Amino acid sequence: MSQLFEATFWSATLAGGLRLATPLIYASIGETFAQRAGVLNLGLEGYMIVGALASLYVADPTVGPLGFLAGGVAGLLMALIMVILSIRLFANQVVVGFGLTILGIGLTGYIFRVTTEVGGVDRQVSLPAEIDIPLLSDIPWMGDAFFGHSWYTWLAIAFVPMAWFVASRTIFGLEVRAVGEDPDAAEARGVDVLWVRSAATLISGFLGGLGGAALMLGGVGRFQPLVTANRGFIALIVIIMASWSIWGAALGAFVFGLFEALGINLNNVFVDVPVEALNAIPFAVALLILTAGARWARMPPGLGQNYEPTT
Amino acid sequence: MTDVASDSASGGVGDPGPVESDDLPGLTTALSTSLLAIALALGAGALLLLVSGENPATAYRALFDGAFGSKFAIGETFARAAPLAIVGYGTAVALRAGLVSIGAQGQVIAGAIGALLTALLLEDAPSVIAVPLVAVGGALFGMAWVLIPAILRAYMNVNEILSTLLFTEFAALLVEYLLNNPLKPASAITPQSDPFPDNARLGLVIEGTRFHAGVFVAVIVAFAFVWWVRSVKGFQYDLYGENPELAESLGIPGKRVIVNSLLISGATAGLVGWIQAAGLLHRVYVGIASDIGFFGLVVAFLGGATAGGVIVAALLFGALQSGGLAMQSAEGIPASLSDIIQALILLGFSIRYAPQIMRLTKGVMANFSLGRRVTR
Repeated sequence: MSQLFEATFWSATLAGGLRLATPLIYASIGETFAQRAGVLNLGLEGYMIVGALASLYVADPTVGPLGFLAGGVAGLLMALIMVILSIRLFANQVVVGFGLTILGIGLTGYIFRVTTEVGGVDRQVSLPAEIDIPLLSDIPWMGDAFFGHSWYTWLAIAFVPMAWFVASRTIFGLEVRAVGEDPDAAEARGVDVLWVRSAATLISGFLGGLGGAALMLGGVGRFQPLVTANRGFIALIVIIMASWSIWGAALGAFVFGLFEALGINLNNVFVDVPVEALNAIPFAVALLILTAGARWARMPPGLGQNYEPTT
Repeated sequence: MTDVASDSASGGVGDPGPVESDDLPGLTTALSTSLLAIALALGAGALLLLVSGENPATAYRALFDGAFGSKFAIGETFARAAPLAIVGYGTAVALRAGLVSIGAQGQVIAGAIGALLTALLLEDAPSVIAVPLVAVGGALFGMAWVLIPAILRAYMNVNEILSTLLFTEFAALLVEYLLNNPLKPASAITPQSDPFPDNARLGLVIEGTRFHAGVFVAVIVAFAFVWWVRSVKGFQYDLYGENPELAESLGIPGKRVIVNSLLISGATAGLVGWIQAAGLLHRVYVGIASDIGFFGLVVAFLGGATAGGVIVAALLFGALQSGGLAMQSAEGIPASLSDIIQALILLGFSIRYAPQIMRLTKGVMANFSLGRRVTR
C-alpha cells in the first residue's frame, strides 16, 4: 500500500503508460484521418496485426527501421481492400471492416505457422536501444517517466504535431474534414470525395500498420497469434473521447496506456486482489470513455455512410 | 446500386421499407453467384497454398475428407455448424433490428459459466430437471452479459459494436479468474473446471462421433427464428431495423426493441456456451468460445439474416472449420487457412450481397453512432 505514496511508483506507471500507448498513438491518429473523412475502419485490428507480422519478418534479416516501414506498407495493402470494396464498390463499411479483421488474424496466423517449425526457435528481434533525452529525464520527481523509451515512442510523440499540422493547416486536411462533414457540399465545391476518402483510409492503414510494427519491434519482439489483442478496437474507442481531434487521439491513447500500466503495476501493490480484476481496469476505463463520448463527443456526420457521386 | 443509394439518402417517412424486404435475387442467381464467391475464396486460398509450397489439391482433398469423408467427419461438421447457426440466428435478430452485436464471444463464455454453475447447484437433481434448468442458466448468463451494453445503447446511444467487444474482454478475464481459482480442481495444472456433472450432460447421438444432442438445439432455434420473423413483434423489429423514424412514428418503442433484440442475441449465445460445455467438451476451458462468436456474426451476415441463409452459411463454415482442423493434422497445413477462406467469402459476399446486406444494415448505418450526432 505504501508504494502508492512513492514517486517511483507513479513515474514507473507513467513510463509504462507511454510505452504501452505508443502503438495506439500511431493507430488512433491514422484512424482519426479516416473517420474525419467519414470512413470507419473496423478492420484496424487487421491492419495492425498484419503490420506487426510484416515488421518482424522484414526486421529480422535486415534492420528495425526497414521492418517498421514494411509494417506500414502491409497495413496500407490491407486498407487498399477497404478502399476497393467499401469506397469504390459501396459495400457496407462494418461488414468489410469486420471481414478484414478476420482476414488479418487468419493470414498472420497462417504465415506464422507455415514459417515456424514446431519446437524450433521463434523468429525474434531484440528490443531497440533506449534513448534518453537529457533535459526531460532531469525533471525532478517525474524524470523517470521519460526514461528508457525507444525511438518508436519518441517518433510517435514527434509525429503528433506533424499530423495535427496536416489535419488542420493544409488543404488536404480541410478536404478530409469536408468530405466527412458534408460530402455533397464538398463535391459541389469540386472536391473529389472518393479520392480524399481513399487517401484518408490508406493513411489509416499505413499508420495502423506502423502501430502494429511499433508494438512488435518496440515492445513484444516476437510474434504470437492474436498478438495485437484488440488494440485496433481500443484505438477506435480512444478516438471518440478525443472528439476526433489529433491531439485528443494521442492523449486518449496515452490515457488507455496509462491505465493498462496502472493495472499491471497495481499487481505488486494489491497482491490479494485477483490479477484479472486489475487487468480489467483499462477496459473498464475504455467503457467509461465510450459512454462519455456518446454524450458529448461530436461525431463527423458522414461517418460510416458510403457516398456515391452523382456524376 | 443506384436505388440503394437513393434509398439510404431519402430514408424518410415515405420510404416503403419492409414491403420490399423480400426481393432477394432468384434462387438460381443467388446460388450461382454464391458459388462464384466461394470458388473465388477457395481459389485465393489455393494461391496462398502454392506460394507457401503446398499442393492445393492435396490440401483441399484433406479439407474435404475432414468435413465429409467419414462418419466422424460429418458428425464433426454438424457439431461445429450448430453453435454457428445458433449464434447466427441470435445475432440475426439483432441485425434485423439494426444492431451489430459483435460480442457474442463473451456471451458464449458467460453462458458456459452460467451452465456450469447451475449444473453444480443441481448435482443431485434428476436429469429431466437438471438439463432444462442448466440450459436456462446458460441463456440467462448470456443475456446478463449483454444487458449493460443493451441499456447503454438504448438510453445513451453508446455504440454496441465496441461496448459488446469490451464485455468480451471482461468475460475472458472472468473465466480466467474462475478457472484459476474457485472453479479449478485441486488436481488441475492448466486452468479448467471440474468435469461437467453427469446428470446435466447432453448425450451423444451418434456413437463414434462428437454429434451430441445439443446439435438439435440449432434446429429448435431455427424454428423459433422462423416463428419470430413471422410474428407481429418480429415484423415490428424488422421495421425498426429498416427505418427507425418510421417505426417510432408508428408507436413502436425503439428503446425496447434495442434492449430486447440484444437480449435475445445474448440468450442464444448463452445457449451455445451451454451446449459446448454440457454436450461437446464436458468441461469449461478458457478458450471455450473459440471463435464461435465472431464467425456466428459472419454467418448471420452471409445468410442475409434469413432462416434458410443462416443454416446454409453455418453448415458451410462448420465444414470449413472441421475440414481445416483435419487438414492441419493430416497434412500439417495450418487450420488458419479456413479462417482466411471464411473471411474472403464474407468479403466476396459484401459486394455480391451489397444491396441485401446494405438493406439489412440500413438501420445500423442510420443509427450508427460513436458520439453525439449533429443533424445538419
